[in-house]
Amino acid sequence: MQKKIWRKINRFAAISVIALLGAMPVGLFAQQAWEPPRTVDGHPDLQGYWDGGPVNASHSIEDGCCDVIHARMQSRTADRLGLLEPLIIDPPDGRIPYQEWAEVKRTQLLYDMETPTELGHIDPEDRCLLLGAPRSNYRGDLEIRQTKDYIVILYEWAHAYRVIPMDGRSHVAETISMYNGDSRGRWEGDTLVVEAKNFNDQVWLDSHGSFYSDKLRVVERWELIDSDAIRYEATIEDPNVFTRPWTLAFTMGRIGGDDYEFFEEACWEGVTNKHRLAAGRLAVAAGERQLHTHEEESQ
Amino acid sequence: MRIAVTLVSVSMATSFLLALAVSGAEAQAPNLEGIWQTVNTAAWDIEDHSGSLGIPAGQGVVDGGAIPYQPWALLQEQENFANRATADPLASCAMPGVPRITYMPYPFQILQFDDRILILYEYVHVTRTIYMDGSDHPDGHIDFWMGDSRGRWEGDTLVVDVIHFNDQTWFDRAGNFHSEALHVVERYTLRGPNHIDYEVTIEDPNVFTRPWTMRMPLYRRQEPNVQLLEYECYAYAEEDLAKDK
Repeated sequence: MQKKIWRKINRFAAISVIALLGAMPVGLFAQQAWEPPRTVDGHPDLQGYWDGGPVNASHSIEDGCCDVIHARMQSRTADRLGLLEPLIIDPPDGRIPYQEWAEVKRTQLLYDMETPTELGHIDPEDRCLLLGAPRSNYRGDLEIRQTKDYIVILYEWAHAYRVIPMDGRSHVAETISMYNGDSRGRWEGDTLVVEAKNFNDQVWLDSHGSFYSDKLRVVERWELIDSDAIRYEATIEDPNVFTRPWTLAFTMGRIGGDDYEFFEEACWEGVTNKHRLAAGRLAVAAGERQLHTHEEESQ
Repeated sequence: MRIAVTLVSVSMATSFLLALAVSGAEAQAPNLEGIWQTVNTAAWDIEDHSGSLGIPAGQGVVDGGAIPYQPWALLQEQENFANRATADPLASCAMPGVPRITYMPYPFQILQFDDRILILYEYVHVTRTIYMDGSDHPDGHIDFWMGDSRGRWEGDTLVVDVIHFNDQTWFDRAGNFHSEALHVVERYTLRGPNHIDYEVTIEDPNVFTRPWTMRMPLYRRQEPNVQLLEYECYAYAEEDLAKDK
């Protein structure tokens, strides 16, 4: 975490220097533009292990996370409960632009998740479902490998992976829906652009019931901005659920040394939802409903 | 003039030799990349078996026909077989282990890099990283579902040594099993552009009287648009499994 903060400070310093230099003749510095390391195919080399999006984002891309007890378990102080900076950069208020009916459903989910009576009330992450794009990218560490025809992203969490064909082939048929969707990549200059569709409607964008429909379309932009940082942007569109396309963005940092390896992270093999559903049904039968909040934070 | 011609000849010869050396180096690592799948009935039963409802008949893939179980283990296998509908770890959608993942009737994709080979399986999005950098297995014992894989090239054969298994996976639906002392050695040999000879040796002193071997071809999927899709077993079965798992 400290590393991440330092990176942000460094970036701020770099931006300040660039701003100062901006006042000077451009020609003097043009030749010093940062040149990314490249693969044999001439594209930026994104390979290696990365730390994914900011801590807390997977809990809520709008607010971050969490209650004081969870923070303490993760050795974080109370002032580190939310997101360090907004994840959603557009719209400017940092909120998901839900349609009216969708806002109602989302609020309902914030009740249901406290007292689940069916599987759809439980955060997909707790059910070990593939989390799709963009959520997989802020759920934990990831590994990128590139060949001529494919970019592969391995996620340590639940041994999820994505294979992104780079050969210009078309998407699978509309009738095929998948938890991780169907991704196609291309290079726009030095930026990797991935278009993903063919999602199903089972996954949330975070633990706060931020749902979408099977009409979801995601355009991701991956750009190596220095040898140890990738700027990631995802534009999210779903005419069934949102009033307009919206964008989240963050920077991920390189992790691991030469001998770094992911370990197998089995998820489903150790999960049971039976007891949560039983408890949820008992609570609902007793008339106990409550909204999921982070009010403990202010205590 | 003569000197110049000689120099040119020498430099051409050098380039030629260099080119040979480079292509020779490339030839040392056959290209196994692609999407592959088995076409057999080993996922149901790696030994010879008749057909039954929903299960195609099949000839065994075990060298010599029978698996050399220790007497107690043969009894355990028979009990597993009797209870297979629920006792098979795949009935609750667990990861299948190695080598069962290879002969599940689902495609898998091999990608090769200098220091590692990735195998991505469609079945419950299982992945394996086979480290090719000469590194050793991590200290253990570690209970991995898919084990820890370290590979090397022996001539044109990819040899993968796999240990650190748990004792929860089976070799097939028929109840053939192992302990956590399982040691698997896989051998992948490209036999032609579209076939890999897959040979796998099983060693487990807790369960078997001696090491034994399975072998089968892997076939390259030929469809021009072939790609891995999803088979999210537990997501599909979750509603049922939430009742009693």
